Amino acid sequence: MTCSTIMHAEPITVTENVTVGETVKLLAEKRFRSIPVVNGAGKMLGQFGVSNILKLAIPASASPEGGMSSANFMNDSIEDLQRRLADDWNKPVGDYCDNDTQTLAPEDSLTRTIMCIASGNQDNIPVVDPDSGRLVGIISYWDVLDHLLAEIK
Amino acid sequence: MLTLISLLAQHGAPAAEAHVIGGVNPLVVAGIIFVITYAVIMSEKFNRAVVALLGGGLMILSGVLSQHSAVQAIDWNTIGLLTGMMIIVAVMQRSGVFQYLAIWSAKKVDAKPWGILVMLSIVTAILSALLDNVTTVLLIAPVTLLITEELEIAPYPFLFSEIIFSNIGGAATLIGDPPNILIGSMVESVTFNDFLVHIAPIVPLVFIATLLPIYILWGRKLYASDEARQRVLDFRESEAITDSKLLIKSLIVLVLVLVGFVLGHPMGIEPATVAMTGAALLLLLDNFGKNAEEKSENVHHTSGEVEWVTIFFFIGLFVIIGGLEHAGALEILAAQVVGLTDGISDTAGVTKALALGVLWISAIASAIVDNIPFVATMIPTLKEAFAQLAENGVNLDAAQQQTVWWALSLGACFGGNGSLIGASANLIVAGFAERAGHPIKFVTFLKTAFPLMIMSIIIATGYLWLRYL
Repeated sequence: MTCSTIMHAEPITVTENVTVGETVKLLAEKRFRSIPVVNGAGKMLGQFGVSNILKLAIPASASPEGGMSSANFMNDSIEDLQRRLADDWNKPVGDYCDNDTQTLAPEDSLTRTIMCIASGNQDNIPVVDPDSGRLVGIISYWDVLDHLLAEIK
Repeated sequence: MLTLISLLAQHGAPAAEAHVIGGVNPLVVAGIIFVITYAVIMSEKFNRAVVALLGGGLMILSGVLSQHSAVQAIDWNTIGLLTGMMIIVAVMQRSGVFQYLAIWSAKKVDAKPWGILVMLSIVTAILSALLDNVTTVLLIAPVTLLITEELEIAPYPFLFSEIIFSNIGGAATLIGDPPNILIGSMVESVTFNDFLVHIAPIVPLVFIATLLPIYILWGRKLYASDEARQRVLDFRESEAITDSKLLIKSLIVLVLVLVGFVLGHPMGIEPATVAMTGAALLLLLDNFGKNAEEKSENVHHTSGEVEWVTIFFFIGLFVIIGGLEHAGALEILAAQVVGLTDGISDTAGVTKALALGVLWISAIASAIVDNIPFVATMIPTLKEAFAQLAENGVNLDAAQQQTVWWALSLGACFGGNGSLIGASANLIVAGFAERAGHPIKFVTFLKTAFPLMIMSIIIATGYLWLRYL
């Protein structure tokens, strides 16, 4: 059994030039925690999720990647946080998605798939064709668990 | 560089310890390894530490140096001083004191942009003098980006000033900048206090002279709305201190270490001993009261914060230069330096020619290449040049020799401002700026920084001239 047998083919995606605001609405509507971002040709670019939305509300430089380990001295009001989020609302989501997303290939073994999910870094793992870079499916931890539990039953 | 190889090829006699490898003159072998290593370091295609270590390995494997001589060629005073200070800063920064300083200084000037720029420049210059430049900008640049983001103004003038003033401030002390650490460690006659007496006084002068053009270029146009300023004024700097006990412990150790540098030399205690003992003391204090597992974890983590890549870079460089020295190549380089003084026979005249020549050559060279390998090669070369001059009957006294060392220090430290690749701190800030979405362009930086660097060297020329020449 490989990754492709349990993945969801043709997952819901957004293209890179869809705005941050529309993507947030889609995430809220579907209750997704993240969604794959693709380019016009369906090539996988990265994922955009709830944590990305939250990061837009704080200053870009107040992140561990920006060298700030603690920003406890900042005392932003809710309006400040909303203003920052609003500033990025109409920008393309492609500029803000994580591009270090871990992915699987359709031919990857089930063991590797489970290892990937169990590492706990992502709720779902995009499945990408290694040759074309196109997104061909997605696997969530429920997909894997359902398969495992079905066998036990 | 190619002239160096041809020079080496012309000089036949192999030096004392070197073996002739497969009939090839060790002088040529050492020269080729040196030139290739430095060229690859300059190309920045590979990590500079890896290249330097490979070059050092080749010096030994080719038979130019024995491993024993290679180990002797490493200046452990430099390595100990660097490592010790890196450990102290790694522990100290966890207390949040550097963020505190930056925010405190921004609020002191009512969060007005030009005031903040001046204050952050002063903080950067002072911290750079007491700590390593790279560390200083590593700690100040992130807060700067945060403050400018809150003020809704472009961070470039601020980051630019921090680069420039970290290199200027770093010149003030023996521990402030790698070229000074090298000079202070490798030249026996130059002490921590000598730097304070001879180099520190020029630093405020250059600081003010450099701030003026920055004001005209950017400072007078900086504007932030009241609302934006209020956001910075709302920062609670006391919250930035995450561990006040650790802060007190680190400040005590830092003061002890600085006192150790000042008082140590007359008692025969070298900077490496002071820094490493201070580092060990701080690690001891930091782990007091922790259980065994936490202690081990904490010490392990702190060791990981030391920039080992830089340390290995220095070690590799020392071995490469040791190889050059063993093969007799530095005598030839030194002869070129002595050539600067052709036709001058009095010691005052020779000092003048050497000091000014070294100052300007170091400044230009440090703008083009990393100033660390340059200074590491220049120190033994100049020592050899002094010896050659003495053989010719031109005996520079201790004070005259020191003047030349000051020229090297000022040229290399200030010269680091000449371009984005002139000093390590420059690249660190550029890296932060790029990640924050405000990349610093090589040419844009060069256009402002190079003239400012030349101005600082003109001031240094005047200073050396009036005080020593």
